[in-house]
Amino acid sequence: MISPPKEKGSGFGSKGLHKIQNMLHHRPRASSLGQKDKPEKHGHVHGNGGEIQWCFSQVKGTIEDDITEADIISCVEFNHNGELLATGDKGGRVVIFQRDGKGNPHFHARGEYNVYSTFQSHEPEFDYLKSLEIEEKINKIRWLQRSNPANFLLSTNDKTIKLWKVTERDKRAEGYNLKDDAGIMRDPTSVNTLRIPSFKPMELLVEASPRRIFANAHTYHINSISVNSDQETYLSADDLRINLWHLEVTNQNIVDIKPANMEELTEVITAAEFHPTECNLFVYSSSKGTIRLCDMREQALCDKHAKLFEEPEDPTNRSFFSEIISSISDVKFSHNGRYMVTRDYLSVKVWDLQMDSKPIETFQVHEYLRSKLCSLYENDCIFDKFECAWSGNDRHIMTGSYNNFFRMFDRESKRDVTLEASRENVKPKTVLKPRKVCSGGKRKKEEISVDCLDFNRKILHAAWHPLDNILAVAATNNLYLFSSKE
Amino acid sequence: METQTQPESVTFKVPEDPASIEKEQEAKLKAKYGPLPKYFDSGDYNMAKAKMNNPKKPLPAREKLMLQESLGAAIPTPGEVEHMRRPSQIASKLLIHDVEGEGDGQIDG
Repeated sequence: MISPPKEKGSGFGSKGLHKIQNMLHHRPRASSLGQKDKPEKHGHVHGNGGEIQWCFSQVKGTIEDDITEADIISCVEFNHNGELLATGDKGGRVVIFQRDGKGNPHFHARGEYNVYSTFQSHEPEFDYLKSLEIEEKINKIRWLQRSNPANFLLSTNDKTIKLWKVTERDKRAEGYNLKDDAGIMRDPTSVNTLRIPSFKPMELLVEASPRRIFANAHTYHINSISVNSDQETYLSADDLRINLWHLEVTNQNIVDIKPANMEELTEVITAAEFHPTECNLFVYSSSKGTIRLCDMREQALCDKHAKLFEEPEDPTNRSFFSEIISSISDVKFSHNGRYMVTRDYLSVKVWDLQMDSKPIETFQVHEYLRSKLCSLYENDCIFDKFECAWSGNDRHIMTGSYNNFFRMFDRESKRDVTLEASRENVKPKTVLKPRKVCSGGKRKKEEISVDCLDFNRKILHAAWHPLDNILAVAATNNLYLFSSKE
Repeated sequence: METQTQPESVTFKVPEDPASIEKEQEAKLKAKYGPLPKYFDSGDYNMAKAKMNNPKKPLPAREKLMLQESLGAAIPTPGEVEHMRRPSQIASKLLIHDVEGEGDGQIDG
């Protein structure tokens, strides 16, 4: 079936073009496509067997040589249906984008994201008691599912979590008796008739207001918040403690790993998340590369985990760097709730919740950095905390790397690809060219050598649309949107 | 970032397994800085960090946490506090409407 030409330059029907591009970009020059499982076996709707062809869609933000620190994006999060995309930055600001509903109906309305609302969520504070500055940087944003018709999100900095309500107003009342249309009070003696105010349409106004402020519950820096599937409670985690909150303000501590003697401290909490459907389960990851699954039904204080997930390691292989690079920077449950993915410095690992002895899959993100650990320790990059994301169907995993590269892993085909968030050579709808890093020896044309990677351009934060193949990638102060070519 | 290793085309000398690569990196670090304590020990260094709570180097877990619990030595100046109290009026640059991936444009929304 040949689709009508979309725009100049594409010409062919989409399926035909996919097949050709597949061969050129993703496969070695093999004689047949049958070396791996035929795509059709997987039963995917799309002609290329579920493999995704990523295209540049949009980029937000400015090109600057000297990036203002406040503009650095510190978190990215889609809401539950992907219609809204929130970003938080180091300056404490939240910007919400909304997916444009319009679009060519022939091509399933792949809408663009445009600004919907923005507000100052957190301000810098000074803790006078401790003489310490509290950064306004937004560490995490999580959406609540209800939208009645307002939208709610939680945003947090190091110390304070706020619940924001985002509402739309598209009508204005006019015809008041006591004030005129400009809002100025009328002279009461001039009012001698009574009229009923009526609602007139007005230009859409989106307003955000803080509804709750959850403060003073964390001695240490908050690294995670996660909303429970019951949509009424959420957890917040800092280095040593996890608190459970009811959205109506009360809170209780559910995990406390602070030792009586701080000299005995050996590991900290790095991330925590509620299970997507089991409202009593949550996990938290540690700086030692372990994940603990906790069940709140067992006891109020979940210091005893239900399951401990840890990959065994040969102690003779340990080096000074082993623990640092095993620290888990992010943990995310799959949408189906059966798996979780963890990100440590060099790899992503998929765990089956039924099996705590080792991960079921391990993908190398940038193994070529292992021989650079000394330098990465010296420039602090070894402590960078990368996030990871699942595709809506749990088949793909995405995570960031350096040089504005990001990595995509296809769990089914076991194939991976490296893409770049860059303004160069991008036109909307053109498929991104895979990138390759060469770790030594002869560098092929188009490959980039490890020593030429820009370690200041790192993709720490990204989000995958919960339903569609749309990626929101934060590259320092720019937000890139990529979508699959369909 | 520079490397001072041998050119890696001498393949038979390059260790392949992760453990030996890491140990080689560790040896390199020790050669530069001498024997490394697992955690920093210097109280002065930590207190200096606490002064403006703006660590340039991430600290190991325990030191970082003890900083957050402890009292800092800084007495804020009015200028510093004013900066912190003044609400940020500057809009995010993500609001700027992009045309064709260029950096300039009108404010969106």
